[in-house]
Amino acid sequence: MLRPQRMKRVELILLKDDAPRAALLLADYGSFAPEFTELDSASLPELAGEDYRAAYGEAKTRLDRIVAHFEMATPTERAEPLQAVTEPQLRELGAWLKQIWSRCSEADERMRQMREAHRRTEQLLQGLDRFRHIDIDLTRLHAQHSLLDMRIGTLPAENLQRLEEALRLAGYTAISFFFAEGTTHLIIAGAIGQAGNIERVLQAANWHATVVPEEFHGKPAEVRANLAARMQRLEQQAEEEDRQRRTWGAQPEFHARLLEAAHTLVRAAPYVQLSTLMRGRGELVAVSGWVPDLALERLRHGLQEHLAGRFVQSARNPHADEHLRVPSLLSHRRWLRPFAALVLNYGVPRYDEIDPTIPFAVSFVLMFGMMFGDLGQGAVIALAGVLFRRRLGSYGPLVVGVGASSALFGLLYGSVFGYEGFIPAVWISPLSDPMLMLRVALGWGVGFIVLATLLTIYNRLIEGRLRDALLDSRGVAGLVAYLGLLAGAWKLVAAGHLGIVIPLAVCAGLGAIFEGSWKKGAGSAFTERVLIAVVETYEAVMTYISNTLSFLRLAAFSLNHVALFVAIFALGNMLHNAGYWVTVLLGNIFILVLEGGIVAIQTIRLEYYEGFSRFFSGDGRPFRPLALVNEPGIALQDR
Amino acid sequence: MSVARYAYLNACVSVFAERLLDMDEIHALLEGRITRSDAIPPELANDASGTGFTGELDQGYISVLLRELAVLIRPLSGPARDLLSYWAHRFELTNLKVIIRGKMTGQPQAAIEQDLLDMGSLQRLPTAELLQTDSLEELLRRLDETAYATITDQARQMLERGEALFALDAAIDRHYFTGLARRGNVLQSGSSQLLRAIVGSVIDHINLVWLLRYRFAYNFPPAQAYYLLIPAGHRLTSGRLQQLAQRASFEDVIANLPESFARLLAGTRNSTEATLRLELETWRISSNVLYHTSFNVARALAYMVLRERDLRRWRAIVRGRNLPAEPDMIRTALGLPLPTGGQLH
Repeated sequence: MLRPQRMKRVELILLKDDAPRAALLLADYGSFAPEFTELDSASLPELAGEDYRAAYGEAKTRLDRIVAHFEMATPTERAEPLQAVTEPQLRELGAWLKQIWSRCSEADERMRQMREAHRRTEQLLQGLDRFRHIDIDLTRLHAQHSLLDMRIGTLPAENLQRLEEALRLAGYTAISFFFAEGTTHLIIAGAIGQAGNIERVLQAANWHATVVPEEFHGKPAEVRANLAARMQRLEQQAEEEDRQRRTWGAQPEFHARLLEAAHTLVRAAPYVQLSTLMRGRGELVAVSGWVPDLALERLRHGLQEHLAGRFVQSARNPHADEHLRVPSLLSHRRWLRPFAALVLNYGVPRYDEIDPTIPFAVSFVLMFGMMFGDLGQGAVIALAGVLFRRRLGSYGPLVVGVGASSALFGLLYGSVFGYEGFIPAVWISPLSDPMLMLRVALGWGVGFIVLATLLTIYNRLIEGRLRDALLDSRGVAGLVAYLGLLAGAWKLVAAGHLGIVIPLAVCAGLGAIFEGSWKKGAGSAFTERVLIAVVETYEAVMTYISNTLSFLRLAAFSLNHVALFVAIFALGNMLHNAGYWVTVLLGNIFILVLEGGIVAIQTIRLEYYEGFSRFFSGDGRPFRPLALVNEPGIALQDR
Repeated sequence: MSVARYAYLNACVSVFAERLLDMDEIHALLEGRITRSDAIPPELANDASGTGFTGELDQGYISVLLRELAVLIRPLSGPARDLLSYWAHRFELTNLKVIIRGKMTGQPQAAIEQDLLDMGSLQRLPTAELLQTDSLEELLRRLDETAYATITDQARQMLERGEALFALDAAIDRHYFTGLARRGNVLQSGSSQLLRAIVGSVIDHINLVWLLRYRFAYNFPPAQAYYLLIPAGHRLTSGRLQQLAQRASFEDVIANLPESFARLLAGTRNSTEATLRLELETWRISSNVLYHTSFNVARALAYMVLRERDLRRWRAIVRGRNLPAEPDMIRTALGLPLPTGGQLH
């Protein structure tokens, strides 16, 4: 519970032919995080599954494109029975998908051509109105001339100036008569002898000759009807093409076959992933991985059942020098999941580090409650957590938890929706004794920091960093100095003197920190070393003090909470009955939403900065097991 | 204002400028008096990648350039960052051409992938998706969704007509340099002028060489040759290019160049010689910007131009030595003056 699950390093040697099946089993098993085999690469020089991966890659990309073409959702769930996919099956599937995609691609190309033709016709329709501005008989655009080469067409507007300059070199002139959507419509004319010289120029300029309909003989209404009819035909063709696409996609056999293809690829995916880490020789392949200790026996039985003894499996504990590489799997009850998610948001605990989820959950809930103590508002938050649990998903328990804590502190403070007269305070109202609240907050902060420092010491001892655990500012030396300073301050206030033990303890702690910093600076100049050691020691002290004072915000926000209500009631009292209740209602909503959000952020800040940053490295490797469906890195498991 | 804005960039460029090879070092490398230089990254120090000259830098060199460019653009934002990123984009054009060529010739995906350059964090082309397309039509449809949408229509027509691939390559290059000129013009005041000088020099160089090739190697008519040039020259304006396009011979074109170009290209016999001399001019302008200006984006671009020059020279020197070729022959190939002032025949 307080540490990631114990792991075993498992080595598997099996027959190459059984590898896809084994991969599927391991994926279904869901607790095997693969690694490169530890066996000597010289004795296992071959990489497994290259052709399989290539076949899978081709099939997968084609399937994705086909599914996108038919606007389907890619199915990713597992499908029974779980049969391994062989390479010939993958190739056969790939060939079929290639065939299907070829048809889909042709359909896409037809649609593109239709869209393009529609766009040009639409522009032509718009351009028809502009013809009257060029003031020529449109019949002349059809006629063949013995001396004049005249053409009408379109090109991208950005090419116009360049084309005009180029045509001038060939003795042509260009008249632009319409512009729309980045396309210019123009007429060019020049001596017929130069026609050959401008062909290539027009091609380079992306010129599209406009097919001038026969009706462009000065009957604009008929021309318009003809163009409109052309557009309508294009739209009908596009609709027909789309209808055929939908019909094809909806065919039960075809749909079923696509679904089967998707499921086949889901079953093939584990071997694709695993084979990148497999090495082999001849008919044997080997792969390694991490398995939770508790799940090892189940793995053995599963392999025995399905591979009938055609494998060799060995398991060992992680070595001391590979603890940074062992993945971490957190295992918690469902209701702790949101807190675990917040821990993982900061970072993944290293394998042997303390899993801070439970202390985090308890402290988070309590700190929130202390800063947001109100029975009524706490109940509203808890109720919201229950009513909206589906929408909140895994964060439901967190909302219910902080709501319950707020309600509890509301009882302690005697506050119900800001009213402090309805119920008696089991403890005190914050505003009645702010100094007590500050003392409590300070005490809480001291306890939090001491706990965080103890966790740091533990983590360092586990890592074998004895020196850091003892002599670092966040180790025993720092803790002794910190507690000494606190005790000294207390004794000075209470008794007026420090005694001998406390100053000695403080000096011992600071001396050890100084010495540790001094040793780290070995090789630097003397003055620099002294300066660094002094500054680091000073910084260690100031960090402890500032971190402790940071917890005063617990009291500050609890006071703030009450003060906001005071302001709301003051406003409400200025209004009459209805206005008063509206003010109180809106005020409560305002506090719930805005101050609730602020308090949540402050709580996370205290946890992350004053807590996690002390003892939690957060650079552990998440446990990513082989799985049948693509999931983001998993470092969390329900117990 | 520019001091504050470009202080870090200026410092970076000045530090990087220490890596540029000076002429003494180049001659020493050519003659084998030294075999390596601190200016050359260790991974390129033993460039044993064959003796074939491909004319383009390969992956190792481009990785060095991209790595340094990534450092230079880090403190930049907006148009300045866009311009420098875009400068590197021309290496990605090689990838686009390789993919189109590969798809046209039916090469398998693995074979095409081998010829692609890794652009690292500066990659903008969806290379993986383009590689996965099954046909040219699908490739062009996918390109419709990228910044190259403006050339896909032209590409379709060219491919339908069975045009030579170099025409499509030229269209892609034209698209690129037009974009480069546009980005250079967006920047304000001091930087803009210096950038225009460098970018304009590159474009003038390309326009002149292309014009000579189109007119006298491929025998295109003047209108076509002119149209295929980049519409963003600096000292070679559109009007001047139109005039030059109508000249009837190589010598006629050279004789009718503006004075600055005429001096530069006097006596050139072919487009290869013209290319070398025009490159020298670009490098001269870049050196001026790098060593005689400060606190502007143009220095960064000038550094990248000169760094690329040095890496090309290093590559040529190593490969020339591997052939083996005489130092003077390598000098001539690089357009460097012979030490004795003589000429190689």
